[in-house]
Amino acid sequence: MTPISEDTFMFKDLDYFRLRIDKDANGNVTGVTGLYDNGDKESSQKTN
Amino acid sequence: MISQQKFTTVIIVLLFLIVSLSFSQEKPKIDAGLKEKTINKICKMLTENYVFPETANKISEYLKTQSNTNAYDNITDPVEFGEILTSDVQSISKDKHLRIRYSPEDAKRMKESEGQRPDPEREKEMLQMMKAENFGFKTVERLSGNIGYVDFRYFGDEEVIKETVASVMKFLANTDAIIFDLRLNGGGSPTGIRLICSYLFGDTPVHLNDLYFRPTDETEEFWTLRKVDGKKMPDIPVYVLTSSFTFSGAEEFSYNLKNLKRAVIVGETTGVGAHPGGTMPVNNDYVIFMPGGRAINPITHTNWEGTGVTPDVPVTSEKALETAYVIALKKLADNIKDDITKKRYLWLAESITASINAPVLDEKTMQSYTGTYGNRKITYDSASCITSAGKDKNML
Repeated sequence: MTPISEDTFMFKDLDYFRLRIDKDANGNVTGVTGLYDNGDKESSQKTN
Repeated sequence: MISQQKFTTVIIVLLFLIVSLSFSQEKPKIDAGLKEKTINKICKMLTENYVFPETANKISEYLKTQSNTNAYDNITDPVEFGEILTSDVQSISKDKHLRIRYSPEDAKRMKESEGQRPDPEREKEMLQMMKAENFGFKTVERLSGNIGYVDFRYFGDEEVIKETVASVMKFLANTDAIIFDLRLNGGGSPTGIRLICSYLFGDTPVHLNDLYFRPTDETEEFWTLRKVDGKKMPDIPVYVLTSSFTFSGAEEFSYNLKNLKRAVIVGETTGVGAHPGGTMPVNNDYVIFMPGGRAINPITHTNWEGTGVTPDVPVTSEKALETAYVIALKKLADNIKDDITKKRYLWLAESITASINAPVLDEKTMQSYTGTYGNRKITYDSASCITSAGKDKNML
């Protein structure tokens, strides 16, 4: 995972996908969202 | 046992002496007479052939002053003498093409072939060497976003490289932009430059450059070719990567396309050398690269001697590719109406930018990102590596 900002990462050899860390208003990590270059998104809540 | 050791020692000493003697015999020395003759001949050749006669006179005066003030007296190594002469002639001319080199082999071969037709065996050898290097073409690639990329290290003669150039340009024919990487290109033939430029303009010939040669007092014009083997791409965005190593013909290619507003030059100011010429024998020991000509651009009416080709986008050569790549992607995004494709170009541009300017996250921040997120898990190790893996092998 290579950061492109403080909360978004890209992956080597997967130029169509990124992973964003989602936080609440207090800055606590609540989940992640997979981002695709065609605009698709998929979110997952933090479970552990 | 002792006698065997002594015998071995004697053998080693003898071998050392033989090697030392053979080295001392092989290493040539230059005497005062040859130095004087070499300087006089170089001065004569410069006066007759160098592109600027006044500069030739200044160089000659300087070399003779140096010689008369004993500047070369302590030099016994013929290679060093050639290097110092080169440094001295360049200190006056500022012309990096003008070089003197100790090479009895080249001098002998050139003297023997003077006034004769080229040796077919020698030409065959040269062709074989160029083939072994794919005529300078090191990499041709289609980058993500359908950007063409070609890295080549010299411009061979048109007749010699045309098949390879055709195959390269056919590979790039469906790309939406082309990046020519000249960061390690040292120049070459003007006909090779013309050939590659011809793919980037339409059927109507475009005036690229003129070369004036003082020895013949003639000017040769270079225009793009009407026809090439493959598709012409007059509208495709073009980017040229440069470095301080980019020299001579590679500078001409950059300068031509820059002044015709046909390419964006990205990188460093080039190496500075606009005076073409050829290698000539000075005597039986030395050869000289004699710049007898100069480039004259039809738009600027001058050339890049003394200045180099300045980039449109100045950036270190190490970052030139990524910088040009991002510019190319953003230009494609600007010119496309389809929103999804536009987003993909900008997405890719953002990734490329991040690859050269990746932010550094502290350990505490990265630790805070670890955990399980549904089917996805993020871990962090002491090597500052953060990874994501899905339970499903196809999931990130």
